Amino acid sequence: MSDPASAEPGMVLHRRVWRETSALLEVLTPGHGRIGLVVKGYRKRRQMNGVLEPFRELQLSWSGRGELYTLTQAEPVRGHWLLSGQRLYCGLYLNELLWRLLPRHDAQPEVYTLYQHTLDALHQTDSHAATVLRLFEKHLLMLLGFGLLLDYEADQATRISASLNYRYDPEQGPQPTRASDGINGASLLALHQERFEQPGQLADARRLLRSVIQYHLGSVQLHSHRLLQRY
Amino acid sequence: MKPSGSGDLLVRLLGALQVLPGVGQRSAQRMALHLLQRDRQGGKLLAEVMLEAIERVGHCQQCRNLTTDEQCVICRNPERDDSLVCVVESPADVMALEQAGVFSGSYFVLLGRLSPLDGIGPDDLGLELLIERLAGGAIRELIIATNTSVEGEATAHYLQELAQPYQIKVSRLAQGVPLGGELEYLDRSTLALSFNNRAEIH
Ligand SMILES: [Zn+2]
Repeated sequence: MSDPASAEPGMVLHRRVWRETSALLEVLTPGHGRIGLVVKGYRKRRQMNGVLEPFRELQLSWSGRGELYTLTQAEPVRGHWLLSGQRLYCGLYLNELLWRLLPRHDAQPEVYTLYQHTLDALHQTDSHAATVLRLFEKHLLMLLGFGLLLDYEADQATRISASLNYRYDPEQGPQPTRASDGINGASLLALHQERFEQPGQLADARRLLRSVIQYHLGSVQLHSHRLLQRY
Repeated sequence: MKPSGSGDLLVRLLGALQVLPGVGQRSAQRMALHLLQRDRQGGKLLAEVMLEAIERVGHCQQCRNLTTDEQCVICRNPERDDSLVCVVESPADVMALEQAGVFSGSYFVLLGRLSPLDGIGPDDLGLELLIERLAGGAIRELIIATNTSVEGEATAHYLQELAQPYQIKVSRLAQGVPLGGELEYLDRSTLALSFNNRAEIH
């Protein structure tokens, strides 16, 4: 467990009311992973609260040790990612995924970088939001040690064939199947190369990534899906 | 010594008072002693009014604001313009706008906001009532006055998409409301300014 810290970069993933007068922030940091910060007297500290919003980078100081820390200071360090409309829903989905998938106190600077790059991409209105989300999901799973096997079958010797169908086992990888609900080999290769050229490949990638993510979430259900029907 | 019956009752009173926001052990003690030592009549009135309010105050069937009747005083008032509907998160926001005296239309109170990460979705905001009013064709402008938090913005976007098929004007309170700003805490002039400078959104 890490100790009190000062002026550490971090971004709020989620904020909720905590014991009536406080708030509990779920925060992603590069150096301490996902941490829980309690904001005491939240209602009275309105000046600071405007800052404690998702999608802006902050410098945070906290005290205490154990499962939850106590926030002592928060300063914005740069402009924020102003997401609007459907892009805002996408951003909320990233936050929910990070909140639910990352264990606490597990420092992963690469996850922090991936998150910021993904927000950059969502912020560019000419980017393709669905592609941005699929690549975030793929790379996040990889960084967490749950990377997908996409160019070889589960035996790790046979190359994926674009003309076969596969059943994807989250632990083992793809195995050829004749079942009609399998995923197309060409779609696996498209996700591997991160180039979705044929219609349906992006939708296949979505279906595959969702099922693998759900496998790792266990009984936890994501809610932001409901707003994301288009992506 | 065993705690006496009256001691228990005092403890229960202190506990009960602490359901109020911001009231801890010390304030509860101060309130209880004040009522018991100096103002038993006031205490009795408080208890009676509170009980009656809790039993009788419900939600307006048109705008979901708090009221004892089927329709609240604002919805019943023939002077108010029903074709302008201001959508807010809470009854506290209605009170803030009424006190600022900038609006003479009607309201729709969401009693919450879209908060996907907490599992609060569109179904939890009573939107079928709003859709009914939109479909009725009597609404000319929807003024979205949700907070400027991320959840408030997500809610605003959802409402905007909801209103789209009805081809009415949809506007959002003007900038100037600080990020994370909650309507109920804005001073009157800021509120009036952002209301009068509301911008149409597309
Ligand atoms: Zn009403």
